[in-house]
Amino acid sequence: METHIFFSLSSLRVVIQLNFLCWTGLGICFAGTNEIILTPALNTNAHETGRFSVKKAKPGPWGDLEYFPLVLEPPDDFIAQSIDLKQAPQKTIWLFKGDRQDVRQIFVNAGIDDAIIGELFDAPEPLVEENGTVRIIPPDRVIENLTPVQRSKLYPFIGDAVSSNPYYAPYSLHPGGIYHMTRSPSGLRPELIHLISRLTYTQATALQFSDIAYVFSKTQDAHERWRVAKTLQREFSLSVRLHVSPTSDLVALSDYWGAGGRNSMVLPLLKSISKTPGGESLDIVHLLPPTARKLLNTYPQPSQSYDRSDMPDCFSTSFSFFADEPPGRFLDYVGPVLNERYEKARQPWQLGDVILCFEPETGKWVHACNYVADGIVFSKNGKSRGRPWILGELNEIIAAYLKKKEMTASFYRLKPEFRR
Amino acid sequence: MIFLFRAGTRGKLALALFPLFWIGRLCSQDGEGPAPSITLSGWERPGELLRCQPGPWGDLEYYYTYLEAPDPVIELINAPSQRTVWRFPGMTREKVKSLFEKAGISQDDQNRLLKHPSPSDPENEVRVFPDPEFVFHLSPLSRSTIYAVLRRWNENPFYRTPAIIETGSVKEWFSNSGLSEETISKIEKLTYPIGKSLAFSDVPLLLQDLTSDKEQRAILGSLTRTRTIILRLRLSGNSDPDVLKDYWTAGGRYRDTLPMLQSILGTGGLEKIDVSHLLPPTPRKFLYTFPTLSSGMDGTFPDSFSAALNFFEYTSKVWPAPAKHFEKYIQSNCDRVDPPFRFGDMILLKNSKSGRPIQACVYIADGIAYSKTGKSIMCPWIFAKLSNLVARYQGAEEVVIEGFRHKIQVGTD
Repeated sequence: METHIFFSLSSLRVVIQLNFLCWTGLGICFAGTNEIILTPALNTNAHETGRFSVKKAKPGPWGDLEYFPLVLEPPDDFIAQSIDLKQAPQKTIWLFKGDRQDVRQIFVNAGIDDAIIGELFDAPEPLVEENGTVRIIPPDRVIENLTPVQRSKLYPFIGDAVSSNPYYAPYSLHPGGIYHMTRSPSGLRPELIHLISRLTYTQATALQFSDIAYVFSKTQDAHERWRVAKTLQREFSLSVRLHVSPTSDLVALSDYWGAGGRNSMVLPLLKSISKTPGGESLDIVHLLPPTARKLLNTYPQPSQSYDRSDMPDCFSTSFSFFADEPPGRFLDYVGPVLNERYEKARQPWQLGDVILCFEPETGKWVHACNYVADGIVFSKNGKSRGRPWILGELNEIIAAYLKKKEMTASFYRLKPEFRR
Repeated sequence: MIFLFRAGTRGKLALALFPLFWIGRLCSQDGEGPAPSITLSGWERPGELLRCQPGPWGDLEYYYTYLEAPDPVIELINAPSQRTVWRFPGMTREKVKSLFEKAGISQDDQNRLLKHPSPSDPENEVRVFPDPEFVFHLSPLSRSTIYAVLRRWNENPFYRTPAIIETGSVKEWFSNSGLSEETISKIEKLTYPIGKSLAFSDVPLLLQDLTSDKEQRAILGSLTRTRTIILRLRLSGNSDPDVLKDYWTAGGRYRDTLPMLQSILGTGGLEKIDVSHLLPPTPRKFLYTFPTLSSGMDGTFPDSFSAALNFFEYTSKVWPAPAKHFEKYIQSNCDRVDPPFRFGDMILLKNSKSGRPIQACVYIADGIAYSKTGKSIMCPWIFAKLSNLVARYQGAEEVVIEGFRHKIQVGTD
């Protein structure tokens, strides 16, 4: 039985047929091997429209689940602190390290043709070269007409390696793109939505957006800029309900949601609802362990860090899943916890299994989340105060994190001695 | 403004405050008549989907369900003796006799109960060992009179904290509990009124006929039953989003819920959402659960006062004397308010004569409050009708309700 899932861009064509394979199906398909090849569904031009609808999860030991998307926007006080909003430049400025020749080479490597390079170098506001940097103010036409591939190759070279630089730390969009993100009213004009879509690019399967200054330059007022900032930081969560009735298999449900004794305190309610005449649905927020129940669909509070920089991230979250309160020490480093308390998990996956995503190319763990049921996970996507704790679909979260050629996902489970 | 709830009376004010909850009346409490019961209106049956009154909280629906303490907690209960003992610490035999007299116990029975001092009687304590037949046939009046005295002392745990059947219907309360009809009938016979609720204390008597430990655990589990409410907001599209936002943010005092509120109001197609998503993180974490051992790590387990104080706290705090701290807190941070109460208001139930704080809760919507009914680890955090919380004490003591609203912004630090 495998504990690793292998995500590979090179396998895109092979796996495109497997898009939307149910999560439980994966185990069956790839049993006997330690690697699963999968690329999540992704189409940057996807125009999903219309109202969201209720989806049913695949049947499993978790019971009869149905879920519905929730679109969360960061709190106003967080958006108000946005550097992009507070220091929005009038024009898009590209700042490169090096000299004119270095920059030309970057453009060539990005696949930008000579005519456009010439235009950039001789723009109405010509290139400025000083102190080992080159400053270019690109014309609107150039910004809009770059292809997604050109953007993905060019933008990593713009600006400093600081989180306030949208080329270094782009907005990470939902894999469905801006059209999907605006399926619930955003207050944005269609022209702006189209523009954001045109300016979106990919890093592997991750949808990125960097041209915030350009989009701001096309807004009509401060309110519209505010709406752009909020919309770009929308995050999808799920409202998940478990249908329980007196005919439900309470033993199986208790076994699954009780997580082998790690989560037994949710069982009184489950037992109670299962005895409710006629049957009812129960929001699974009540079946999650205390920490996840508390954090779900909320944004981090300043008090959750010691010095206001070490905010909870995906790692501290995923290793706190069964904790009564998130341990402060997980803000430091979770490595020892993984080694001491966890072991490789075997299928079937269980509530709370930690899924660790590893990027072989960089040698880094890039994400962690907790398995909940079917293809649904509990996740904190990033350290930012602008990212909430969510229930999300694993394939969408993977798509947002798959920025290199390949990524592996490994499943870990608390050792038996730490399960109670 | 103070609201009084007196046993046997219900003022117009009370009627205006809460939906008519109890339909029916207490049966005769005198003589050997039928076991006391309160007729339950049809709309309170567990599982039946009910609607709240329309209000600024939006379109709410709810149903009742029962929570039983989890097995690990039941395991902590020492198996009690099957022999009934009434302990009267500090009372003389004459005083106990006088109590029996008041309770309508016949002279013969009084003499039999107090025939000889028990050899096990410690100094300054009278112990009475009534036989099962006698206990079983006590009239409701005799039972409630004697048990009201027994509940003064911790030495009588089943009388001190009886199982409360707040619906007044034993059959309904224990339906789907797994208890046999015979056991339920027995409980029905042994209940007695406390305020507007029924109480049950004769656990030893109930355990007498049991042959297995498993049965005993099942009964003890059933007796920990606490009724709660699963509450959902229906998103019909008819509600005014601004009114809803104003209500669920406590008039702008608690803004941390706004992202979630905006999401559920803006995402078309979502029919309803569990109200727990509109609660601050701490009550959401605790709702419908029983305390864990870790919640007593600081030396004290949470009670209704700490539940109310922690409602808007991101990380729950511990106070050595939560009731005292509660009073101090509301004096410093809240304004006294009259009904209609709104989301987040702190509600205090007090003894009208002594001013003793009895219980605290936090108002949610349409007469529903968030609370914890006691300090015990067998008391979960629940949603309950405020009228039910009051009814637990009404009659046993005169209860007043006071409402308090935060003067300050709460939540985000």
